[in-house]
Amino acid sequence: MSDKKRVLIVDDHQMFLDGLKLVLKKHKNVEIVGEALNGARALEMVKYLKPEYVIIDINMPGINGIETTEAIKKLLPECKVIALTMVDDFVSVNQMLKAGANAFILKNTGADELLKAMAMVDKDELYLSADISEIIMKGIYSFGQLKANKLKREPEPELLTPREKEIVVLVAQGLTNIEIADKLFLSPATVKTHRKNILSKLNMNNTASLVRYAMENDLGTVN
Amino acid sequence: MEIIKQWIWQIILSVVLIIFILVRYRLFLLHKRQKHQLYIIVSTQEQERQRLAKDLHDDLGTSLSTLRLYIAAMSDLISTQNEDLKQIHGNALQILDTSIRNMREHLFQLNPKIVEEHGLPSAINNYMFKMSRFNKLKFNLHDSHFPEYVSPEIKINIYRIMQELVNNTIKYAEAKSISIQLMYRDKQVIFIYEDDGKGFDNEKIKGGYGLKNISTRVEMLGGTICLDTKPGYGNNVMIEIPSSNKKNHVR
Repeated sequence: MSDKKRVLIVDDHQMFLDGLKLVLKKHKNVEIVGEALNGARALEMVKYLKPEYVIIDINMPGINGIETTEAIKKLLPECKVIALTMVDDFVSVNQMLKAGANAFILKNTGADELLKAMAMVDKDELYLSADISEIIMKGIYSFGQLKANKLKREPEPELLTPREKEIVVLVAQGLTNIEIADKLFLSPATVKTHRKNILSKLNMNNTASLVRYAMENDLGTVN
Repeated sequence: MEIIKQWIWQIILSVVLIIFILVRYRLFLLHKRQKHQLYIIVSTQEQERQRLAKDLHDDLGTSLSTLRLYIAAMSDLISTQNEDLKQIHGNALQILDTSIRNMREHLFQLNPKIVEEHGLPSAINNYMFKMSRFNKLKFNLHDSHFPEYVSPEIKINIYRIMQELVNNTIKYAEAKSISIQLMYRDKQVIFIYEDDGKGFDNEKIKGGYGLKNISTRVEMLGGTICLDTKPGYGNNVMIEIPSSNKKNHVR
């Protein structure tokens, strides 16, 4: 066995595969053992070629890169998967990492970065290209906050939007839907929908609890 | 004589009734045709966007990223002495990177794939997250038990409406925060959008392209839209769409 890094490359575009082969070829410690144009073919090749690394795209017809990665990790857990893709939204990055990818690189890259990533994942470290780590950091923060809001048992006044708070205040003052609609230049139907939404958001089923809520949360003034 | 008079009256009455029914029927057909035309316009637009996204990704995207591989590989071939060539190479790489980044943005705006793959609440979250990254906006999404069985047609249209509203807010409103609520109640999808920007005069802007596009989509889905804004008072939009909508054939 040589000490070359055995790599399988997967992308649904031959042009890109050819490019990858060409630029990786000049690096003596890398050997491209196979190439696949789709996820199903990639899985077959993983089975009999047992590569050490798979460089894989996400957006592919049929089984996409995320599903393929999951399957590769089941077939050959020690194989390192490097996502190389144009997709950079938080949800896809997150899912790809959950599927077990060891690195995530955006497609505006060169061979140097790929080699760097391979060296990193060899040490069992996660490699993310610069843009991606920023997306992850900020994404975890804002998505985490959303989740935290949902988990809180006590509904916070921030749960209500300014418009809804106004409506709660007016309801607490004893105004009817029509009067509220008049005051806020809305249609009564809109006020009615708002009221229903507020109740369902706060987990309440009647006006009395809404009035209590307004008092407890000090929603006394309209600005 | 009396009988003839009665007859004439009956005939007149019948004729009036028939004319009335015919007019109503014509109006009904006209309305139906208009609705169908709206439907065709919106769904053609949607298909075009998705086709464009696919072409961008497959053709231009692949070419640019392959080109990026080659140009990056050239750096080893350029001798360190040749400053001019090094600079040209560096500039080329920079332009290429900007092009790829821009193309990715276009793809993101055009492609609603994420709605199908990860659901509407995740897709909205993701969009808002990305837009707020560049625009220093706070955002908040409240979705309570939004069911996935709502038709793809409704989901994609709400996603498009949300995009339009967020883009308007960023372009014109000078808002600090956006709040979106997505709910499902009594077989109705309820979508509420609020920003705390400077608002606008609804009467003056009624014909605006973005708003027209939004109301076209809502009308096509048989829903209602309530626009509640005035200068200095943010923008509040409430949309209700019946979800037991049977005509889910085209997207």
